[in-house]
Amino acid sequence: MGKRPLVLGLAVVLGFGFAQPRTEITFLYGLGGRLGEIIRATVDTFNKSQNEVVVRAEFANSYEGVLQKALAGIAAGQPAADVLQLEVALWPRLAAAGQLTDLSALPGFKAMFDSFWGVFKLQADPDKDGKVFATPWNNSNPVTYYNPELLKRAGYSAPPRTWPEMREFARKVKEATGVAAMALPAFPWVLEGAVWSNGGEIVGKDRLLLDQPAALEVINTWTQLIRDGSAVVENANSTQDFVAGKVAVIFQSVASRPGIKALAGDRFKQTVRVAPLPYFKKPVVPVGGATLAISRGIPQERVLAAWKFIQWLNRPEQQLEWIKQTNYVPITRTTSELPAFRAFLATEQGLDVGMRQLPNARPRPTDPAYVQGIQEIRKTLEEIWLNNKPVEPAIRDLVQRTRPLFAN
Amino acid sequence: MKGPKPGATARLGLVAGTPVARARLGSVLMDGLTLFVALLFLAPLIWLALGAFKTQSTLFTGPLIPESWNWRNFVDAWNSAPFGRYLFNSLLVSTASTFLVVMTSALAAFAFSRMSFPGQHALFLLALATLMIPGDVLLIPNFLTVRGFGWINSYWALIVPFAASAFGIFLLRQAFLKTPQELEDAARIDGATPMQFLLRVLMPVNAPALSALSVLTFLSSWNALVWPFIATSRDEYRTVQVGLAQFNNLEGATNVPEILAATLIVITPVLLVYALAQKWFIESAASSGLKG
Amino acid sequence: MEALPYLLPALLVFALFEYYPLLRVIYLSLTDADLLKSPQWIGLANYTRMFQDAEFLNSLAVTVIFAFAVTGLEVVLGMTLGFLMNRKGPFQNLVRGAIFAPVVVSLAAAAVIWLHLLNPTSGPVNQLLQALGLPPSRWLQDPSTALASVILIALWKGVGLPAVLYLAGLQGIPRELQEAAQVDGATPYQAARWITIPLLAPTTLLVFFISLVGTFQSYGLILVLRTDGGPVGSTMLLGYYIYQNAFQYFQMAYASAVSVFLFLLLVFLGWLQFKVSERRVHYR
Repeated sequence: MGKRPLVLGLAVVLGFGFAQPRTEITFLYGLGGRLGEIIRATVDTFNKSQNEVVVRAEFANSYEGVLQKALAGIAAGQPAADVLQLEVALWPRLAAAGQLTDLSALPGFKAMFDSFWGVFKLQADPDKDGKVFATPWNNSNPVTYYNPELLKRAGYSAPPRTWPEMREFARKVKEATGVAAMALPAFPWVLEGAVWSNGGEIVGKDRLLLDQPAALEVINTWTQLIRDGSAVVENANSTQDFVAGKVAVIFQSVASRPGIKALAGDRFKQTVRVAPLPYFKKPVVPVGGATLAISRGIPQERVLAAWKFIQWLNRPEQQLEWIKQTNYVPITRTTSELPAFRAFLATEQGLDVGMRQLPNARPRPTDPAYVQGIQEIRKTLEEIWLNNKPVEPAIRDLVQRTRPLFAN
Repeated sequence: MKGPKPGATARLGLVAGTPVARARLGSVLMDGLTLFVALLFLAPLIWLALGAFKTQSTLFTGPLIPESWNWRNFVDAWNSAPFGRYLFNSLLVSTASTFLVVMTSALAAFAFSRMSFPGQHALFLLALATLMIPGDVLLIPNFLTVRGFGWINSYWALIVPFAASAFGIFLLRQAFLKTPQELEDAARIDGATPMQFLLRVLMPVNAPALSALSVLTFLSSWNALVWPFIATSRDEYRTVQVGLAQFNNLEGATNVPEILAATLIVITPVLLVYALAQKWFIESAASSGLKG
Repeated sequence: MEALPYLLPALLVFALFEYYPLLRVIYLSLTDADLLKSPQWIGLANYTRMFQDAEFLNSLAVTVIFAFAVTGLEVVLGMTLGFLMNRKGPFQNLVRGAIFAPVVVSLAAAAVIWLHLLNPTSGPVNQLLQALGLPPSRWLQDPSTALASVILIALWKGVGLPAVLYLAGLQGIPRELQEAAQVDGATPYQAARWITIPLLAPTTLLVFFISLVGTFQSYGLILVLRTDGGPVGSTMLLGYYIYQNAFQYFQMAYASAVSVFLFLLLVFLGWLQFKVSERRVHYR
């Protein structure tokens, strides 16, 4: 500590000689826990890696917290921060209202955009008009976590690749082990992938399409698994139950891995394996997570500084550091092809599954009404699974009652 | 007052059927019930306190008593955020808010209880109505107001909006209403102004009610979470609850033992305040405004 | 006016940070504001939408059950626990600390604890029930028990406050009164029923009012227990419904309308309570 004033003084003296004063920007993020620590450390590394830009990371509690502050800033006519971490469903509304900077005109944009995986190009520019208001950052897709010890007792070394095969699998696992074969989430993230993999769609032009045959088949298949008694509905305890050997398979984000690993401790290697997400006709997975955006209405100097920060975060070496700690998926192909990255993926079973799914990945629906639609879907699935409502009337009712939402 | 010696209790209890024995037995049963209730409330906290010493992989599946005591959680929790600063800020903000609430509440309660003026009842209800406004939708308008004053990232933003409390006015009004009128008459004969009477007689006489209000205000200020996020963005002005929130993560990797350790760190000062105030708060409530 | 200087500090704070923003909220509730574009006046459309919205009506029902259950239990349990804390005995200090301690624990920590305790598959509470030969429950995971579970957690977390208020109230009742009753041959039950409880009426009024007003607005537990108002909307408290609309769905105007409705409902309930209690509570 004692040395700091001296070092600082020295920097000032030297700095006056030949460097511009550094541009200070703020970065509002919404992740706590281990991820929050990693974000703060990453920002520190950036600040030390160059002497043009200083980023001050500000914690906003949650993605909703980021939005709260962003809305307050918009109401005040002064953006809450220069760089915002926005959940994928939140940025389109802010962009449509003209509150985010179009990044496509910034230096080096094209090279960065071209290096993105296809799914992220589509996520960043869903209407393909060339304007981009948010770039992918912490993104993930769901994978299958399974307990090989439990599966082995039912004669399986890995879960089946397709949903239709799951029924027999689940029955056998339940029979052989006495615990639930899998936990199925009512939150429709995994569902999106399953419906797409069956050739169906979640959201149409002006309504939900879950009443179409492809989607109904998915919901019926899942419902049967639950009504057979071999699957349960995912809940706040599911990860703990999985680690404790009380459920054999869970479907969660690739980025859940560090948390599962910490919970499992020494037993991780024997009790946790990762497989790709099951599918119906062809493999498709959804991606989720958050993006980075630059507020509109800040001085150009700060826009450029913010852009430098975002570009730095997307550099392959930096992506690698980030992924090593968080297990998110790489945003760019350049990162995926990095030898060091390949070497990292080979260090543990299943680390590569998220990346291997990227060619089959799709962005989540971008209709602004979908945020609310998600909660309605979830509620309906819970009604079917927990209150034994018949599938088809429940889904028809869901589609009907959400029509006004999607009509606008 | 102390009860009879244990030996005496046992002896009396053996003489079954007599009223004294029955009373003794009832007393022992009540002691047992008291202990049971205390343990019922404490059990989850015992799990919390023990959990703070465990590792993530033994928290949910390991034995209740940790096999090895993992002090690192406390060190890591303390180091993961500028907790020293947060604690200082929380202490400052909570103490200042508490002082202001006690003062503004006492003043208003005095007017509502010992004066009469036109519109008194309506004004009192208007004050109570502030308790009934859902807070979430006020966040952005209040952000704009505070910003207009230039208070974003300052202690003012964390203190002034909470400097008055309808609950406090309500509580103290009840207390003041019950303070005997003779006290006021005596003070007036001695030539005290109403303000002097309030500060030198009414408030000291109602110390238990004031301390009750202090504890509750301190607690709610200490636990405030949403507003500090809106009104501040720099660590210099952030509070312990912001620090605690930093451990939570909805995307999975949450180090639960570390949360538990941080929770213990954060609640300790509040428990101390409660323990200190408890004497006032409860023991001397004999002359309290809280009495029935 | 003599009273004005005494009232001014509190009223100034209320005016700036309660009444003025409330007026803005009322205005917003009559528009289509989403805080992104300039608001258009739409009259009472948000209010008519509210009463056609099944989600809102469900949320209102859930909130009424939650608020009255928690308030009722806080009065009854708070008073009972107050008696217990007031009783001299070897565990007096222990029980006083124990009942109040959960009040100071943060919501996030309370959620971590209770999600574990109520874990349907392996939680200690279900293990205990099974050991006693009782059927286990799915607690927060079952639409028919989720709200009851939230109420249970809310009571554990919150009943310490009313208990301490009752304790202070009991300490203020002159011992002679109760002793006199016993000399007259009253049982402890009779003494409580006819002397102590009526004398505690001001505390009861306070507890009931504060608890009701607080529980109607609270939703912190829903947020940290991650029920998202479910399963099947069974824990969709109005406060959470407002939060969702304002900060997830970009529906600030609608959230404002629901807030204004909730405000008016509470004003009405408060008024009702004062009408009823005016005749019963005597201060002098």
